Amino acid sequence: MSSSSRSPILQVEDLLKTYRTDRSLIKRSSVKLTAVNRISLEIERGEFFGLVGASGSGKTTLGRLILKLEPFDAGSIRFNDLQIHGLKGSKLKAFRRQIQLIPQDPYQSLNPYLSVFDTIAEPLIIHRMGNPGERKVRARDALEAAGLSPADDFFPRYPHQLSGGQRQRAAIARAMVLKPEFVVADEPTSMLDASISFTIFKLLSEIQKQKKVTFLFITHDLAAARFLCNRIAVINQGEIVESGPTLDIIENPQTEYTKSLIQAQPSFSFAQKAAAAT
Amino acid sequence: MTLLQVNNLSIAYQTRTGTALAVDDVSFALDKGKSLGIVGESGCGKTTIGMGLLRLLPDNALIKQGAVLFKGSDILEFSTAALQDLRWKKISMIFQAAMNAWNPVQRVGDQIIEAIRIHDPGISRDKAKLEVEKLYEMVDIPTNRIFDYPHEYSGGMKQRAIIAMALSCRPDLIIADEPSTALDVIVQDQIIKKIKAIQKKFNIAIIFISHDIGVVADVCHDIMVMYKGRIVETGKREEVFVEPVHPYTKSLLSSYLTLDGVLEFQNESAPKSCLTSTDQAPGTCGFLPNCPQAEPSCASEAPQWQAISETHKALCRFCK
Repeated sequence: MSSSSRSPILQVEDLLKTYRTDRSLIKRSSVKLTAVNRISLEIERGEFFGLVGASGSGKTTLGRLILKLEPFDAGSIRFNDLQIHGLKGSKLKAFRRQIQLIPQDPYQSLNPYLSVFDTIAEPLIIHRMGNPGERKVRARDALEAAGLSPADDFFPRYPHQLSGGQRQRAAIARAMVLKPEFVVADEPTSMLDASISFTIFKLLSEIQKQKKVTFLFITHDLAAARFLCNRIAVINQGEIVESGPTLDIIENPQTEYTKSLIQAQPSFSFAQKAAAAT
Repeated sequence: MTLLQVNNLSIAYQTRTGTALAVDDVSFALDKGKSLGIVGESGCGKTTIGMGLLRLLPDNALIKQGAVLFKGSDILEFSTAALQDLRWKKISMIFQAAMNAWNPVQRVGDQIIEAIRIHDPGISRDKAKLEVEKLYEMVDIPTNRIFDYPHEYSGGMKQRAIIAMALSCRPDLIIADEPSTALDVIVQDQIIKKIKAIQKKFNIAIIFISHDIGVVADVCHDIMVMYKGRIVETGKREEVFVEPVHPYTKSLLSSYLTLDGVLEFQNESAPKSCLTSTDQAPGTCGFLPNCPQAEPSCASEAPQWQAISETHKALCRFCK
C-alpha cells in the first residue's frame, strides 16, 4: 500500500496447530491432523485482508487461533507487538477488547434468550465500560451504525423476531460496540441471500473505512474477497499457497489450487460472451 | 412436449395477522428434459411453489386458485393414492438442506433402498441394492461406501447421495430446492456439473430453485425471476441475465458479485427485503416502493405483462 510507515497490527510466524483424531474407541491409535501448517503472515493496520479457501482448508482454525480461542502448538502470534501466547488476567482482557469476531451463522451465534439490547450491551458490561445510561448510548450508536435504525425499535426484540440479514447486523453491532481495532469476520454471509450479502459487505467496507478498523475476512468466495479485500492469502490444507494483492491473484493465479477456486466460481460466461459480441 | 403446465397458481398462508399471498397468479410451462430456474430472495415464494407442485404444503397454506397439469392431469385434483404414486416415482424433490436430514442411525444405502422399495414393493432388497450401486456410480460415490453411516460422508458426498436418492425411481421431473447452498464453491461446482450431466443423460426435467443467480445461470435454459410472490420477468437465460428489462431483475443482478466485480446494469443498490406482506394492495406493483424508474401512474394501475421477444416478457408497464 501507499503508506511508508508500515506497522503490522498482526504478525503470525511459523504457526502450527494439530488436532488428534481418535480413530477408534477401542484401539488407542490416534492420527494427527495438521490444521494450520507453519503459516506466516502479516496484516497491516487498517487493511481489509482476505483469507480464502475451501472447507477444511484451515481458514477458520487460523481465525480462532488469532482470536486466542484455542492454543497453538508452535510459532507465534503478535498483536500490536504483544505476544498473545500466555496472556493472562487484565492483559488478556484488554486483548479481548481489541479483537472481536463476527461469526459465521447468525442463526446460531445469537443467544435466543437475550434481547437485541442485552446482546449488544453484554460486552460493555463484561468489560465494565460506562454506566447504564452510557451503555445505552453506545449500544444505540453501534446498532444504528450497523444499519438497524431506529435502534429503539430493535432493542426489545429477540433474535427470532429478526430476519437473517438483521441478525447478522445485530452480530456486527455486538462486535463493533467495544470499538475494536481488529475484527475477524468468519464467512459472515454464508447463510444469507446474495442480495443481503451484498448489503452486509457494503456495511463492513464502510465500517473499515470510517472507523479505521482492520479486518480479517474469512471466505470461500473469491468474488466476495475481490469486492472487499485489498490483499488476500489463499489457504489449502493448512498452508498458505499464495498471497498478494487481490486483483493480481485473481488475474494471474500461480498455483493449481487457486486456479481451481477461480474455475469453480459460477460465472456468467455465456453472458460475458454475449456482452462482448454487442 | 409439455411435461408440466402451471396455470394461475395462487397459494396463501393463514397467519395470525391475516392472509399472506406467497404465490400470486403464477403460470409457467416446462418441456420434457428442459430446466427451469426460479430465482428470487428469501421469502419471495419460490420454495412455496416447489412444495405446492407436490402438494407438500403445511396445514396453514391454502391453494386459492390454479391448476398444476402434469402430463395433462391436474395434480391439485389428485387423490391421496394418486399422489403417492406421483411423488418420487414421477416427480422427486431435492429438499433444502436435505443433506443434513439423513437419518444418523441408519446406513445411507439402506435409506435409499427403503425409498426404492416403498415406491415399488415388488423389488427385492438385493435388486434394490444393485440399483443403488448404479446410482452411486452415476453420482461418483465409491460403491463400497453404500453401507456407511451419514456421519462418515463428507458434505459433498451427502449431497450427492441425496441426488442419487432423488434419481432412485427414475422420475421425469426433479424439483431441486437450493441443492448447492451451504456447500463451498468447489463442491458446489462438482454438484452442479453432476446435475447437468445427469439431466442430459436421462432427459430429466429440472426445476431449480435458488437465490444464487450464478448457479441458476449455469444450469437452467429458462429463468423466472420472482419477487413478492409474483413472477416479474421470464425468458431464456441469455435474455433475462444479459438484457434484463424489469427494474427488480436489474437490481438483483447488480448485487451479484463476480470475479470481474459487480455486474453493471445500473448504479443502484441491492433491493430491499422482498418478504411478502399481508398489507400489500392487491393488483399494484410490489416493487413500486423500491423502483428507480417508477411513474406516478404505477401507484394506481396494475402492472402489465410486456413481451420483449417471443420468449422474454416482464411484468412492468414501462420496461421495453
